Amino acid sequence: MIKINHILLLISVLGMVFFNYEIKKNYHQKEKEILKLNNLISEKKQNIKLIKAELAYLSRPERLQSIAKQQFNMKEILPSDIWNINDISKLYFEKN
Amino acid sequence: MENIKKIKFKLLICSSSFFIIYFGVAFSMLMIKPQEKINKQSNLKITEKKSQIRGNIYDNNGYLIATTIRKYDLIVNPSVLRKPKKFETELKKIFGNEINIHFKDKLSSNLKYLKVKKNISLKDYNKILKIGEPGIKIEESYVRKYPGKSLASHVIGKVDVDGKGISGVEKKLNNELSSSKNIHLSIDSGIQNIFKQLLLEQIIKFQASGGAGIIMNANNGKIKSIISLPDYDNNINNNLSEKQVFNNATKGLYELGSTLKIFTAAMAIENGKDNQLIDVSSPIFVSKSQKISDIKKINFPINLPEIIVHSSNIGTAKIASSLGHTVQDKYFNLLGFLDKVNVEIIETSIPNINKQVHISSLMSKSYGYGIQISPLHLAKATSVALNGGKSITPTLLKTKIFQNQNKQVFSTETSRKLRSILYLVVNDKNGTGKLAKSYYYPIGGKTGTAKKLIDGRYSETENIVAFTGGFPINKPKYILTIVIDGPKPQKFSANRNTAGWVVAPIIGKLVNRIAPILKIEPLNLDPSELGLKKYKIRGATL
Repeated sequence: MIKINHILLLISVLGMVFFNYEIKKNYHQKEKEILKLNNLISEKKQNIKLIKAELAYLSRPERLQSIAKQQFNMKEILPSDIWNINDISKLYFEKN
Repeated sequence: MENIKKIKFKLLICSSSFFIIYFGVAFSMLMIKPQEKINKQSNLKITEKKSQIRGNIYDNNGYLIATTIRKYDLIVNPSVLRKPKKFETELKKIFGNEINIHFKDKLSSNLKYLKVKKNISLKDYNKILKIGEPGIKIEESYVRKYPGKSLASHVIGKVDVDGKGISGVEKKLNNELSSSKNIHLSIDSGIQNIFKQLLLEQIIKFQASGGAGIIMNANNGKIKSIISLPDYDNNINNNLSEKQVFNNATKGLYELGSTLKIFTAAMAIENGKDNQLIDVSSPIFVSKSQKISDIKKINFPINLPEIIVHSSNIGTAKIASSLGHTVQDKYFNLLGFLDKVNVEIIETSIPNINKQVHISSLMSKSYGYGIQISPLHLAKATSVALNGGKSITPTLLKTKIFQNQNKQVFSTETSRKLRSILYLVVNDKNGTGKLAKSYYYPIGGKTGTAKKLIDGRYSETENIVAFTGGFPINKPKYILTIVIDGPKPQKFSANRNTAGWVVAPIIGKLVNRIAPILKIEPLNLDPSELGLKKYKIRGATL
């Protein structure tokens, strides 16, 4: 009886050692992956920052103004373009 | 039998513990390996240190004004290269023609350090490593970028090579920015751009040497736009002249002439001296060499509104002398003319004030001579005078909690009377600021022309011209202050270089363009309907 018990114990210990090893191996692999991903994230974040800076550079007011004027023939908003909704309805009723 | 069993049992325990220890050691040895690999990799790839990256600066609408970008420079040690020529052709394959041809000689030389290319990507770096040459590495560095270029040069300021702020907001808020906090400014980039264009146009037209302009919220002191010209591109570090870098709007001190009559008028109203008639027909001789006179000669006694509308030096001086030194000093202190303006940049100045207790000093200070202040001081004081008399603290931050916000400097009634007078300066046919009129918004303000002080003497030809005021003047939301330094007389301006001809014409244009952006409805009504008192202004003969 004792013999069988001891053999079982030994096997279970060995099994646990192997299991432990597997977990640790897995853990280190994941750690590596995390590190890689973190580096990737940081790189992508930097890229996003760069792109945002580029967007700000391209949408600086000075440039937008010249594009709006030259390419699209747009004009700046004037106070005469702003209408009160009541004035518009008044005009409409006066005409009719 | 019993003994043998016991021995066997002991043997089993010994052998099993041996196995456990043996495998344990073996596995732990196995496990060290991948850890070493990780360490090596982390050395290779540079991980981001959070504390190192400086915070961004945004404007009021979230437009990116300043940001920090990481970049990699390719460094080669040419002395250890095995096949420099092959290496060069490989580099050309990767970068195309972007690479500098002059490296040819340097790559085969015995140099120890050569910066081959700035700003490369990690992908390209991996490709270069695959060429298989020794002595290749990358250097990581951070650069501060200002996408808006010269949008708000002086306010934002600059950083040094180590990324530490050396001027403007970058320096004053360096602690916040270096702990990677983002800063949101109250500046509106669109308005800043419009304002700068108009101001620059006028400066060029009148061949002036510089200028400054401020648009500020009259009630909470938030600065919407602040300009100092000439300016510079924040991304460029060399070849900047002292004049370009100098902040005229906050650091420059000027004698701003008649614009300061606003405050003398406010003191007079506050002390109940606004109804008396004053004789301004003859000049005042304060001393043998000093005479106070007016350009327009007015033969009849006039009241306070007329003094301001005609911008009479004699009248203002007489009012000041009836008020006395103590009143003037008290209000100059309350208006902040004795201290620096506490704002989020370092470039501020303490005003220069003539402290002589003499009638000539009192009189000249009342119309803006013998007192040198910055345009920001003037903007701050103007908003106090027009917003109902409450003191404010100018700020460049989008959100800021104020403490002594509601300290009353002038009474609301004084402020209302003052607004009526300043409305007339712009809208009355006799006013000095007629050209500032807008047909859509009621504007009120005061022009000021002062002789420029050059080497301790007042120049006969050079002027400093200014305008300060607010709109819509019935209930001012924004304060406008503009100063132009040294405009020359032009043919189209009938050979004049006074504020009424140089600064006033851009005020109306500016308000028409920015008011719709600031969500202010056009308003063109009778002064009495605006809650402004109607004063009668009599004309003057020249």
